[in-house]
Amino acid sequence: MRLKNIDLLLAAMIALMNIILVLLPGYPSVIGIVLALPLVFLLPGYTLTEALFYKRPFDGVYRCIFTLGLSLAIDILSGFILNIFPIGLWSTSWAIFLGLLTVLFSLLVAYLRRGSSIGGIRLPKFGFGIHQYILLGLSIVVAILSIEYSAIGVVQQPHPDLTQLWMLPSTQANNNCAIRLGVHSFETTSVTYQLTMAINGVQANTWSPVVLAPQEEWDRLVPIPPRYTSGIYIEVRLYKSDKPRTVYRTVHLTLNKSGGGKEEKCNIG
Amino acid sequence: MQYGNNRPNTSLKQYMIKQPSGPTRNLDYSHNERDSVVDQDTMIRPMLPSGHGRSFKLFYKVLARLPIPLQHLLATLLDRARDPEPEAYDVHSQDTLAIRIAVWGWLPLLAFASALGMALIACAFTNSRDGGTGLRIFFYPGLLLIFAPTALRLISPVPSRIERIGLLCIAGICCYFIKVMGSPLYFSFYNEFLHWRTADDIAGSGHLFTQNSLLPVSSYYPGLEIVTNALSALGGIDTFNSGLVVIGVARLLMVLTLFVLNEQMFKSPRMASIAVILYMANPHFLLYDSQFGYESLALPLAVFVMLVTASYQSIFLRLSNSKPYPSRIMFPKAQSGDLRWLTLTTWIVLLALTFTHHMTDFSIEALLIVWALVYGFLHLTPLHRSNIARTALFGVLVSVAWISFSGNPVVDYLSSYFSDTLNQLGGILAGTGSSRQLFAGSSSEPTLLWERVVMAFSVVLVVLGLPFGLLGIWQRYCSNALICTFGIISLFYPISQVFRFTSVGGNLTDRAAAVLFIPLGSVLAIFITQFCPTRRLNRRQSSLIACVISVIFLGGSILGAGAGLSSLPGPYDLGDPRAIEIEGIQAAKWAYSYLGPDNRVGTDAINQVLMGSYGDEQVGTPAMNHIEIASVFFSLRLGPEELAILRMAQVRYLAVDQRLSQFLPESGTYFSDAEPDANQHTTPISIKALTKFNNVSQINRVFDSGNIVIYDVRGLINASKEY
Repeated sequence: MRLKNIDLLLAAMIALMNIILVLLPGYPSVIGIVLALPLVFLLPGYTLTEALFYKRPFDGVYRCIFTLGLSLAIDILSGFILNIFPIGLWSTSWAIFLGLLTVLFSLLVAYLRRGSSIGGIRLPKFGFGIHQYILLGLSIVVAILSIEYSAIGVVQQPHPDLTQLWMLPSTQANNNCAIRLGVHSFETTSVTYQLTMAINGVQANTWSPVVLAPQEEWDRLVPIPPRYTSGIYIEVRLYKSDKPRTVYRTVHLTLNKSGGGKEEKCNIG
Repeated sequence: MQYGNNRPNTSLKQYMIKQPSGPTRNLDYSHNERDSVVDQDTMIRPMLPSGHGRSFKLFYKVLARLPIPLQHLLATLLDRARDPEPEAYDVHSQDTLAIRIAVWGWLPLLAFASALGMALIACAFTNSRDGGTGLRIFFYPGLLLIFAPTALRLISPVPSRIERIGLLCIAGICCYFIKVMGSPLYFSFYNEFLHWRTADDIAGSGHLFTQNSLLPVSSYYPGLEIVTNALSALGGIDTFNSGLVVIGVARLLMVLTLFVLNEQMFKSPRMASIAVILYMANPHFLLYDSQFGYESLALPLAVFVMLVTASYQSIFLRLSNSKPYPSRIMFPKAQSGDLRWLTLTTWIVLLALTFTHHMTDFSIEALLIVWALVYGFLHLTPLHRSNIARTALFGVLVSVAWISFSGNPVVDYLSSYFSDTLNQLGGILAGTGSSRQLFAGSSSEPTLLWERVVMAFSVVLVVLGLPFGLLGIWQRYCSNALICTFGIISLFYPISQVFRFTSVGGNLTDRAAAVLFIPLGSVLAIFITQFCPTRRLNRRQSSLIACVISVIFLGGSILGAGAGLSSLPGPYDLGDPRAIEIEGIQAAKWAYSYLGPDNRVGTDAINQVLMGSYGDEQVGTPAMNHIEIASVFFSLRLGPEELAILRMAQVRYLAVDQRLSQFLPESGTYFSDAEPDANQHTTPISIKALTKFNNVSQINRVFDSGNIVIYDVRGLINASKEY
């Protein structure tokens, strides 16, 4: 009896392991994906197919189609059912719903199979020779390497010089106006930058050269002197050290102070 | 069966004399032979209708007046078309053994060839990304290495069923991997971002039907996103990787289901495999239906519905006729009780399909209706008792109910799309509009002449093959309702080609092909098997057929890859996926980090999807609030009209990509179909128009990454209207 229902036992076990796993904090994603794949794509469809057509011996390809097709359909309809409840579509609700569905179908199939000699999944026999195994193994290796090579190609794809310069208004604790200024380098090598800031057309700040490695970011909170009250036009320019006369990036914004005393606010204008 | 071999010079008259009652020949069929021809959803009749009745006699009379050479030709054609055993194969004992037992044959070798093809394509993509010129040099041989040897092998009568299935799965998955290799680390197709946004909204809120400003209709058809969410939540992986697995599984299901559906119809694994390999030649198989889009999942579900419905019909008629079962059917011991479970299975999947993709759902329901009508026409079962009619009715009711669901924008979405296309076609026919140059695009990289020829050939070959396939159906399968239905639906393929003349309709034609190739593959498989029966097949003929199928595949793939192969990796171009690159992605990520989510951002189509997905912003698409902001970008000055548009749309930020001034859009539009000169741009947008925001005092330039500049326009739209 046990051997006859080994497929159902396996299905129920995987379903329960999924439920246990999502309740554990911080499980490794490898285990998560290994257990999730059958629960999402195989078990609901397989057990339902067995429940509906338990008396009929299935051709392997048909079984595979029914398993995949019904699993996908059950997943979709399950999503709609979970959406009705406040619990929603989260890992716990998915694991419990699909897991319980699988266990339920498995119990039903076990009940239907009682007294029957039919049951259990017959594993396919591949019957490859050693040379065929080698060829198939090579094929898999070449396919994986091809995808990996493409992924490396994307990472190393040359792109034009890319540096972000940004400036956003900010307010200090004492309600004085300030700006947040940032530079983010996505260049291929380390670059030395020069930054200048002008307020209402007058040079207000110059920083010492900023050296950024690829992917490195530099940002500062720059207070605006309180003598500026309204219509504060701030312009920041970024230069590359190798081309000190050519503006590489530029940003500008206008700030206005509104209210007074403690209610004073610094608004973008 | 020697029937088809010994009448090369028979005129039609002689043919009729020799065959005074063509159909009586069918009476000589062995029982098994009849089974192999017409036992799916067909009542076995004493005679097939070909050559019967007054209309057929009249037909022959008319043909008999034709010149003798033409009569010879027609006689041969009819002879071939009605060949009862095109699959009969005089095999050597070793081959027979190969057919009988489940051997893998050339599968390992061809799998290795396919892997080498993938390696070549990986080289092509890397070279193209680096700005090299090797894309075509490596891509085409790689593609043909995956496809052509498999096609050649499948045409041969030798491979076993399991080898055919294996080869088809490998070809289907390799084609999917080509798309994966194109963007192995992130989504890069426009449509993928639309669905990614829905998937991320579900992951973020835990609920369905959150507003998707990129594609509002996507929220109401979340089948794909639900499955992706399930895998992503349970497996602890991100939406991208989860989506890759889901689409891969869908691809596998598509190949298997289509094979088995055809196998059920034709009772021949060879014909089924030829039909599937022909399906792979449709323009959307290689890239479009490999992307993270709802159609990629909906198509296999649709074929699944067809398969189970066909199985029901087959079992129902077998039970009615108490006929013996052929060696391979789904349920050799089926009983009437199983039929209701098959119906339940069909309805479950049909319901899931309704929630997955609108157009595929409507298409499958149209097919079910035609199938039911054909079934009624053939007097197999009264229409009201037909399971097909019941399933069609169920599907239509569910679809109508879902369309009527509060907030579902699908009717507006589809009607605007189709009305644009039909208006353009009407304009061309009336002479008021100009037609598009066929098989060419507006990519910065031109389509080569030979590529255009191959594309045209692929369409022409399919259209030319269609009548012969239909002749085969008429002569041999006209009492099989599903095959007749396929024949009728395949007629829409040549009709759909007229939309290629419109600028927006070319896409519609290719989209339709993804569905139409399901019946077309079967019809063309009938053509190939009836007119090139296996007993006449030699290496030269097999190679020729494989070459023709490969040309159809190559042409379809080039069509699907866009003008100048612009849908494959390469240097920046204004269209997906090449415009999806680091600068746009980083700008969108910056917006999310520093501006926060859900700001209303006005920008071009490419940056819309980036801002809407990576940035989680509300992008100013017309679909969102029916306000077209594109004219703000096109105008040379920021006048009161533009200002009013920005105010109405409540735009907070403008993201301006200055590369719009260097390229023409591959899709024909920079923003949307409602923009000025949409689909008729001859020059890029003026740089003056794009940089005009720099000089407006109330606009703040808060971000600059070289090509992309983000402006804060709050000061402007909140300012007094006297501006």
